[in-house]
Amino acid sequence: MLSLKQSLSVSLFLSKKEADVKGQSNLISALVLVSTALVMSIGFLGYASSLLSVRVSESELNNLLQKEIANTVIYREYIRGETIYLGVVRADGTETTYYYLAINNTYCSANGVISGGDFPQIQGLAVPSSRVYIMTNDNQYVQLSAFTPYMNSITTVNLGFFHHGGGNELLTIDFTNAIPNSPPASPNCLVIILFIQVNGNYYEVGRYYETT
Amino acid sequence: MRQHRRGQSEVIAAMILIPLLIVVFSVVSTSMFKLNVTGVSSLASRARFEQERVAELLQATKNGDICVIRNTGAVDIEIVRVWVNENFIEVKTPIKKGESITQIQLDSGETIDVSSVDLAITSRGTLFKFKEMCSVAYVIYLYQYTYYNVSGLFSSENILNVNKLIGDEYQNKKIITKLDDQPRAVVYKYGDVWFYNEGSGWTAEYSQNIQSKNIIPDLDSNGVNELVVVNNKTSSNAFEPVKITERGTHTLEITFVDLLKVVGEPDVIYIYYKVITQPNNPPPQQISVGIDAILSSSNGTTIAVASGSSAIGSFGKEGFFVITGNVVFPVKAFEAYERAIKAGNYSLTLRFTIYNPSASVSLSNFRLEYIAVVGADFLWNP
Repeated sequence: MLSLKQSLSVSLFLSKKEADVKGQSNLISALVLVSTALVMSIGFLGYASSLLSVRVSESELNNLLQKEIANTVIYREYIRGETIYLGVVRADGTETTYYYLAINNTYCSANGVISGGDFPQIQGLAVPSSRVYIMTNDNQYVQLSAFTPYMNSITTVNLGFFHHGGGNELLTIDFTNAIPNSPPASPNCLVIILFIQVNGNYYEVGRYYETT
Repeated sequence: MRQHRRGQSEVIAAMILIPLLIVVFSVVSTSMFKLNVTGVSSLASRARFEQERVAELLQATKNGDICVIRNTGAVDIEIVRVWVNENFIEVKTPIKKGESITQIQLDSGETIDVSSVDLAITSRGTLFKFKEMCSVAYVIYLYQYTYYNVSGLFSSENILNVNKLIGDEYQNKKIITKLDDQPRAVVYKYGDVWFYNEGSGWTAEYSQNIQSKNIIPDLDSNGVNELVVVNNKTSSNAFEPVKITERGTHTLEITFVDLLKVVGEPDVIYIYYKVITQPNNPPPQQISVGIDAILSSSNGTTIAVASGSSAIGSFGKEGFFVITGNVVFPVKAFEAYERAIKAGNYSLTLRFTIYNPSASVSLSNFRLEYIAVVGADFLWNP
């Protein structure tokens, strides 16, 4: 028989042991919780960063294009016969290289969308039409290859290009030479689209219509 | 003790999570803000560019047979290209605000008259048809009197000079003069003869009465006679140059009836003037002279504009007071002006509001040396 003193000390020893075990489990729980929270937070941060990076990248491209659109001023300076002279001004005076596409359209669409026509044979750079982005009337960029009038019909376009020194420079386009063999039935709208190159793609930054 | 430990894990977790969330939120919002700012600033710079582009203004004037292109806009302009006979030539011709050119300098060292240039292009892409502008130039160029040796009221051939002031049909050239609403007259010495005008055209005045007044035809001795405001010849002190002696505000009006013709729709009409008067005491005198120009059309439209800050008064060494300046009618800038000023014939009134601070001060010898107008033609023929 254990004396009362002995039985008391046993019971105290047991409850201390039990308390130690309970304290450890609390610590482990806290560690698990904190670790989970950390992992989740880091995961969330990574996800957010990834989303942000995509968004930033898109926005940076958009901003660059916005800036270039704002920077590019096109106006008709002179017409002599079949040659049109366009003035191109860089509002901020910086240099750049412009690529351009001249189109002899059957008509100028009222809403500003290219509505069909033939591409003139400009001496320049042949690029896949999937890399050429033109702007629709709701300010969205669409690949030329996916744009309705040209879908699946044009795989390569010839872009002219010129280096712009930053001031007011002249872009000369001779439409007689541009479409030697395939003039549209009744061409009455000349469209000149200016592009800049970003990451191998060509984005529209300016457009000029001339009704003939 | 056990209860105290219970909340610790939540607190620790919160301490870790909250800063993390703050960091993530800050990074995202800062990036978004930066992107927006970049987008807005590029649009703002284009808007600024367009504002400058719209402010580019060149006007053609004629100085004799020479066409003068003047920058009357609010910004400096640079001509970067000209088109002559369907060919373009790259040039670099700056025209600062208020400056004018008559020729374009080419790189080869040659020059082209502006009247031969079909089209001039500015660095901002504005087109000016110089040849066309010169061929229909109805504007009048402010003279440089030192270039001419004309003993008339106005020394340039292309402003309201002596030939236009009197010249042909001089009986029909009416000048109505009023001092404090009381009729007065003007005299002008043309050659050896004094001419008199009290509102019903010029008449030659050979009377001894005017000779006896010993009016100096050219007060500032610059070789250009002035239009002198005098008392009517029917008054007791006939031909006496008017004199303002009373303290207070006085109004002197000189109206040139049917002087101007507005052609088309001018952007702006400038009236340049030079006034000379003579105080009885040398400076300092606190005399103030405000000058308005009033255009009145035959159909009753009247529009008045006060001189801008360019009205400058200065005392000449002989003690007379000279005021030069201009009045601007910004026709295109304000709808009210555009509505009021249409093509047609106009009378021009110069109204001087003079404040005499003291009865001990008097102003005499009120004279007008020139009026030049840009933006309207003179109806008065030489």
